[in-house]
Amino acid sequence: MQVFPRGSNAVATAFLILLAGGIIAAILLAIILTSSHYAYDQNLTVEQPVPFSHKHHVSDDGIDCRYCHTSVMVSHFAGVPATHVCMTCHSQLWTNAEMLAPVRESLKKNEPLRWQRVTSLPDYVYFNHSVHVQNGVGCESCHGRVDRMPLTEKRKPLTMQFCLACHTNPAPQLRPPDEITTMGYEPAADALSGQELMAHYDIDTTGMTDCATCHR
Amino acid sequence: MRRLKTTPDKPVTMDTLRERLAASDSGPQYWRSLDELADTEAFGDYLHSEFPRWAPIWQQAVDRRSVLKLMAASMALTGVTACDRAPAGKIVPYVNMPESVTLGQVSQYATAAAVGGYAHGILAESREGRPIKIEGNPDHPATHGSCDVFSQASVLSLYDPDRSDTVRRVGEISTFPAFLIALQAHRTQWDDSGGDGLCLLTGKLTSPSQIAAIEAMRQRWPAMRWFVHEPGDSAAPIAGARMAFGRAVEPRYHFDKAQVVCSLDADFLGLLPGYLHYARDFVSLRRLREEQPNMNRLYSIDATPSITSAAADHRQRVPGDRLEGVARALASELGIAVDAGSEMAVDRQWLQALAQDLQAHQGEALVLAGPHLPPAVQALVYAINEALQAPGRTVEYQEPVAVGHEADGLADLSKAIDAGQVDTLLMLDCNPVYTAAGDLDFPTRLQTVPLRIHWGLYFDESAHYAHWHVPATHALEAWGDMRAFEGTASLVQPLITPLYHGRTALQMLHAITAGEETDARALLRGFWRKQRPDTFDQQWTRWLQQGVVPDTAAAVVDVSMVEDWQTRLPESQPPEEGLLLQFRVDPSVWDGHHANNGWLQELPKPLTKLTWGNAALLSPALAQKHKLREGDVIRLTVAQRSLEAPVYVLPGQPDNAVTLNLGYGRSAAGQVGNGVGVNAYLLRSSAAPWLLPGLTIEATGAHRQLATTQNHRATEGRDQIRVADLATFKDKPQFAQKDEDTPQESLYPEPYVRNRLSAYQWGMSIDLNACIGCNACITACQSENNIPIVGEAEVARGHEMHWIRVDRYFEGQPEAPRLVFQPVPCMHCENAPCEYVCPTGATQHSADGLNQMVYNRCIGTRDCSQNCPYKVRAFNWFLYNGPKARHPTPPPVQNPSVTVRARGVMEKCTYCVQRIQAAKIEHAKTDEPIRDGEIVTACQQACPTDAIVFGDISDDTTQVARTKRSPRNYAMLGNLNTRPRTTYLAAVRNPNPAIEELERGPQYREMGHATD
Repeated sequence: MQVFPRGSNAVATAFLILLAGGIIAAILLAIILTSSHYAYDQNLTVEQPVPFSHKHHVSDDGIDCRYCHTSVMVSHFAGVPATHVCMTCHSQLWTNAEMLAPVRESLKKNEPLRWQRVTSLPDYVYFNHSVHVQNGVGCESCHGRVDRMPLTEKRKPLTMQFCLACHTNPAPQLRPPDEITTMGYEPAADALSGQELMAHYDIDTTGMTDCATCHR
Repeated sequence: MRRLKTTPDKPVTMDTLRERLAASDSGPQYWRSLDELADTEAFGDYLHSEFPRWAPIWQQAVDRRSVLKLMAASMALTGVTACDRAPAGKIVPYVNMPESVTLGQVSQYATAAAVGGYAHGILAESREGRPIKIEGNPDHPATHGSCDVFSQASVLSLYDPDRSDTVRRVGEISTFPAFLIALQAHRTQWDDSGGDGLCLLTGKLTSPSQIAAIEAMRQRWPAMRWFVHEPGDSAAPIAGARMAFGRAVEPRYHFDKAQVVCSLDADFLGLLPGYLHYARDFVSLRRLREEQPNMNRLYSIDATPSITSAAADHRQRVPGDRLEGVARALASELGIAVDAGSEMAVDRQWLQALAQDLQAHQGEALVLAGPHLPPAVQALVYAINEALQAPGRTVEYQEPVAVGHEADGLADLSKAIDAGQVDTLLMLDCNPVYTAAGDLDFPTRLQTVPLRIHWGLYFDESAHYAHWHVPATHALEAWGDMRAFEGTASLVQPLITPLYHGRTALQMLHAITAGEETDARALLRGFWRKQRPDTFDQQWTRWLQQGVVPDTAAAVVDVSMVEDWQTRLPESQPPEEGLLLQFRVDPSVWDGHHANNGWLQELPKPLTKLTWGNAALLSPALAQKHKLREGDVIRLTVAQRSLEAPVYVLPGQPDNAVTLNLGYGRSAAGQVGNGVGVNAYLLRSSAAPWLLPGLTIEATGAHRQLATTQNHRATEGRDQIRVADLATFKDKPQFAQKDEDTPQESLYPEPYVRNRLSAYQWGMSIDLNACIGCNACITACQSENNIPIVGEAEVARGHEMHWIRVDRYFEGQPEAPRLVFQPVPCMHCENAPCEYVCPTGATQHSADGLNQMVYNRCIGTRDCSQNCPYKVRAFNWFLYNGPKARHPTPPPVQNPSVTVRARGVMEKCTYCVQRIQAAKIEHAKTDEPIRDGEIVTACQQACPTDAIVFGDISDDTTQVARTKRSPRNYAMLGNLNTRPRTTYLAAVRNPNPAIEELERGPQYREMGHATD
């Protein structure tokens, strides 16, 4: 007795092919997605209480990163400026600008500004700014060309793979101490090579990829 | 140590135990519990079930189909957890950043914590304005940088959500100004009457500024009366001094000069004021150097085992009421003309040997008595020390540090209440409703007082009886001062604005006297400016920085025995027959003050390893006589009052004395402490607070499982402890290194492959000779590494999360065993068995020799724990943190440098890798090498005896490398070839040969000697 109709074989074959294709497509989609900017919130701007422009302050005004991010050389946290730091200039400049109303409000009410975090690492990652900038890693290496960002955005994926690439081979990312905050740094012809900078900063990569270097 | 042979189960009796011990192979035997010694079926089952701890979790059986369904579902859904995005979070900068702050950096402030009223110098660590950790203050002369469990755990109490948060008037929310207004009418009245009817009740006070404030109050209202009630304290040493010297002085000991010490029930390592200092001094003479292998000798004659008796070279157990007889006999052996008494609780030859040893060390000997022993014993001990030429050498007498020994106590207050002399009672930082002895019926009496005012950290039992309650500040929020055991005035400074609008002691006293609110800092500064008018302005900041006011130690007094001191002694009376009930301050919650602190509740008590509660401690023989087992609930009846308590059978307890710890059974401590344990105060008598004769016990038939950790993580009696006596050590210093430690076969590649080594190789050494079992390391680790509180039920299942445990081993006969403590953190094996079996690579080896745990890779198979021979890994069976947890740790107290682990993750000691990394980062910036001693692990920092040493073992000059070269160095389970980075120094005892001879009975089998 024939249980299945005549077309069953064709249906079954088609189903198997579709299934295989579906699995392959799903894997491809996963690969594409996980390596996309979308997965890591890259190149997205977020709404901030004040539309602060790094481009204007860094590129047009030439203010050094450390003027506002004061603890970057000494602490794991780079520091976000207190309202008073903004007001050093803005008590004199653009004193009535609509855009800066929240800053003046913050000062008046003694209530802090609440910025949206743009660059964020998971809680189990312990990143330390000071040890990187004091050992030749420029701001640009992780934060990108901040001087070209009218609104701040995340430029690098900041995944474990991204971190490990440099922890395994730091030489290409190193700069001389006076070029750390430079944006668009190009080594001069007579500049120290990556290997020479490794020696200069006394960087030993043994143990730099140990789990506990970042996870505690 | 060898595993005792298993025999078919018989009822466990003392005879069976002795049989087992006798039948075992030669060599000392170490055991953790009577169950283990008896090898009962229950213990066998416990040990052999692979994960004894998870069996009872599933309350009901789950069928196979459901298990498969769940597994399939979790398999299918694992990926889904990765789909959500971490919440982005906000950055909230300051409006105006304070000048001294660098965000992300740690700052430490010197301040002080009170333990039994005395100051322990601490450094409180602050991160972004939040106190998160307490460490010892190295500049403090009384504590020298070490720390105790109570001071360390106090940071958890700071954030306790159960703290009193508002002024209350008969339980209703009120305000401080309203309190001041209500007080005004009474103040006018006191002004008129000179303070008649006004009574003040405080704890033991050492604070110079508070005492001055009370004096000012007395000046204003001379008829005011001041009562002092400190439930864990005793005025006997001072009363004894009056008897012996004719004046009030108290002893201060110098253990660093005492070669022979005899303690009469004085727990100078764990309870006596100044115990951190004493522990350091005592152990300083037990540090063995090869070139000079000498050490002190400790005799302990005590009524209940304590960590001091555990450290003793010779111990006698004597019920508390017979200690006076022992003191008399010892005095007369030493040629002091006193009535020696007829009763003798200690073998005479033993006592003679002790007396000879003391006499042979004139000027280097010290005898001390527990403060709870009667004044007569204190006077006898003063006389004995005089005869041994101890004064000026091993003991000095000082002006009493605390005031209040002159003051009346709670019994007098009760009398005054009965006489209608008390119109207003101010209860300042004390809880008499809970801590009053049961015979006073204090709560009922208190209700007859017309006005009752309470000031304290919690809305506790006494606050419920008060008309007005004012919340106090926590020590980390307060300006204040107090004195250490040797008198040094220590300053208390705040690290944070009061979280609950509390008032400091000075503010409260000032408010009562002056009727107004004043700035806390101004009050303290005002007092010290008056004390030191010349130097105050230049020195104040420096005092705050160091935490102490210099040159404030109590004056040493030259005293001598009065002529007729013997006649002042009361007649020696033969002790009553029958059972004795003894009370002790609890080593975890003290007098109940710390009952709402989860870290302390979960801290296994040094001797019993009990957590979350107290129990009636019975000797094995007494338990056998009444057919009682651990956990059986008995009814204790004494002086017509009775109390039901579970039994704990403690080897080494005197047969006719039952000990019960104070501090439990609270009803208004808070969510953590309410209803934990039984309230021993109910049985206490105000006339004889420390021991009561005429106890009867009867079984109730009920049984309670006690949350004791003594059998947890046992390793089938493998050879983990090495002890020898001094003679053996001198003869063969390498006694701890045994041939069988050399691995015969190895699962690991041989020879050991050293690849990928960084410049530093971390290692640790733990000196078993220095470890006194005080638990400071456990609390330090808990605080530093965000270790959760799991609760009583979870501890009973063996789910406690501590990364370092202190194993307590008994050795010898169950009546009078010797004790050894062994702290066990992760061994950081070079050949780590755990690393080989992790399916996800969540545990990895680092180039500097750490066995790292990566929480975000762990999927919770628990293979690593299964394969760990040391059983040092702890698994998060449930979510122990967060709003749904039973005992969540308040988020502000969590160390931001350490991950807070989630459910389903394995964790273990990391050698405080966050501290290692912090040092490495600092040095990577400067390119200077890390100095030896720069990285201090949390356990090492707290240790009062420096038993734990940590550092770089690849550098021969470091302290840890030097320590590991000691002949006493050995690796635990070295034969497994795990190559542990944590190694131990074997313990050495210094028994008196004369007594060894005496005790060398037929069963004597070179106990305490190492076997080859």
